[in-house]
Amino acid sequence: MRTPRNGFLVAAILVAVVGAAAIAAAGPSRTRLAYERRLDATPFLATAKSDQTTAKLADAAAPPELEGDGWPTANADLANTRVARGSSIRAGNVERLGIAWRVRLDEASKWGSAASGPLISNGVVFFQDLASNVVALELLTGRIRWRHVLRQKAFGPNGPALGWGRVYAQDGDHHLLALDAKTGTRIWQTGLNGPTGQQQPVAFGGAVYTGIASGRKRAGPGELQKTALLGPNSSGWAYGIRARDGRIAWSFRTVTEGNWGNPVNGGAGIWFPPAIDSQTGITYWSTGNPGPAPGTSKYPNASSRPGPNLYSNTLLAIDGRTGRVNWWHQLLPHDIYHHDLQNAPILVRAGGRDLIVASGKMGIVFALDRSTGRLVWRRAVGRHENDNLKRLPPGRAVQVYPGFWGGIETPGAFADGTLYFQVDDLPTPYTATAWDAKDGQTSVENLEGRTVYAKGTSSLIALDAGSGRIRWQHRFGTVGFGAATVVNDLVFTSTYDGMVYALRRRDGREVWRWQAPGGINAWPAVSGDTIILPVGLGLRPQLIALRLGAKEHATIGRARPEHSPR
Amino acid sequence: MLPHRATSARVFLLSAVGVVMLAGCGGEAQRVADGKMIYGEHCSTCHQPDGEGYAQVYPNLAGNPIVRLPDPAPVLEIVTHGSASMPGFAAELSPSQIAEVVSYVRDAWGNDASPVSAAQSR
Repeated sequence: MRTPRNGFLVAAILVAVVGAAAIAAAGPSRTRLAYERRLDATPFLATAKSDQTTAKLADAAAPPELEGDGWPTANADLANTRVARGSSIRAGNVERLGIAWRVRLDEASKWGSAASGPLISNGVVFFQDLASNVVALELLTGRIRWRHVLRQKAFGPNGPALGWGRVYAQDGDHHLLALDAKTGTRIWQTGLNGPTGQQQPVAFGGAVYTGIASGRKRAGPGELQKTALLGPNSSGWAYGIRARDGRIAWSFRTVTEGNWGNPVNGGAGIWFPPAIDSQTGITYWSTGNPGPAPGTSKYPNASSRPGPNLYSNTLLAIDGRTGRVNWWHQLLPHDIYHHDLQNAPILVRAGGRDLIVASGKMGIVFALDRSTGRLVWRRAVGRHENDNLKRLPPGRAVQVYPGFWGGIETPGAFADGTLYFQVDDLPTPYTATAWDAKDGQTSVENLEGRTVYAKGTSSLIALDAGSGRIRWQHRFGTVGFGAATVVNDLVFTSTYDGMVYALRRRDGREVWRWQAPGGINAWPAVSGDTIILPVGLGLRPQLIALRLGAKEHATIGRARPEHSPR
Repeated sequence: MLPHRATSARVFLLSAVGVVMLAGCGGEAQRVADGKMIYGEHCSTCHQPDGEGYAQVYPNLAGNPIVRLPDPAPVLEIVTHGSASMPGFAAELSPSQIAEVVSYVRDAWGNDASPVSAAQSR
């Protein structure tokens, strides 16, 4: 375990105190902005050092799997751009997509059978289902090469990483595993500080970078650890793990020691892979919200956790080789609405600057200067209603947009100066006590269970990456958790009801849609003429290969245009 | 005295039966009420608070013919062991809790099917 030195703690406390003063001084609608400004005014937002590295990592070097075509990382590349390389699919031929093969997914957890994306490398597809089973299949035929069966329910989004001939994946207990990419045989496993099955790792520079969303002490020997989101005393963790032998090189606890003064508190989970700057070796991580949120019967309106609740909803710039925190920027202090900054950050070059772009369930896109962490622009997207309230009235429900599953839930994409995000306008009724929750975990259950999907819609938005200006917006009639995936002149996404869309990147016009045989809470990988798409919900969960010219026709005709350019 | 004693015995017997019946009714009502709590914690995220589910994703439970079958065995099997993209709940809920939540689902939204005992869910 590695924690910042005292100097860093002092700096953090100082910033927290100043931030709290800024919050107190600011009006309700300016709270967040005031705090950010204070941070922005600080020459170095925060720095941390550590000499507690236990395993030395190799110099920066990309795994050979990252070369050439394919989809070798969770979001296509180390920058998390979700751009397909060398694909032949485009607007002119997308209607020729048909089903090349399907593979049934037999096991499920709470969120169905699939909640992340596959990888594709050298003609092989690697995928992990929500029972944590890892499978390798031939891209051409769907023939299964090997399965590593775990049968451990995972919350997701999980999924594999590739590097140096190995597959790395979290199990549904509390481990990161390394498997032989050719055979699926286990090479090593490393225990982490809490339940796994909630993050897709990424490999670079001799390391595997992974994180956990809800770390806490183990329940008991011989038992699988179960996810207890925002459970008492929980914390997210970020890790740099040596790829060769699984030794932990460094780790970072995302909730400060003491859990903000009360053991009922927890959160700041790591949900998605970091973005990695391959030139500098710096890794960029996003953290989730603090809990309980909004509160419990005993501690309404987050009264158990005064202050900014570091490092929840924070972008962390960590040197991947040493674990040293170069800078951090908390983008949504003291959140009370489960408004995570959970999404995979994206490395962007736009407007003559190197930026890092963060986003999440609060429905805001943030662009920061990559070397200093200073805010360059921010853009609220989708519907916002009552999300500026700092307190909820006692005994009364307030409808909040974005709701518990609202805002930007899934990874965005970046190509040619434009960012693409799927945004959900889905409200949740909140009360000060999260409907008489007894802790953070029941606050999650109570709010999830009152979020009615049928009341929601979604849209795909295109933003100018240099300024945050909205270029266009295409609305869908239902909610969606399908990410954004760029393939040449198209951007793909899907809605929860299983409709897959291809929009023209230039103006957002719909050029193709297809009804999948089940609901989708996952995102595709693309290689050459093929899209590998997990369809994990409904009565026939399956992994589907859509290919140009395949016999089983996927097209249901050119759909009517629905976009609304802005 | 005999008639009196007989009457007393009859009154006692009737009272006892009544208490048992009341307890039975109360038990069923309580089971459904407890089941509603469990539904809110474990089921309504997917099948939704009104039991309507979500098209292509989560089957509706309101008016669902499998849920309303006179024989609760199929729905108990699905809740206990899972089906397709729905996980089983055997590891998270006891047979008694499964009976409660299935009793609630069979009762709610006009389903009007009979409650289920813990013995049936084992």
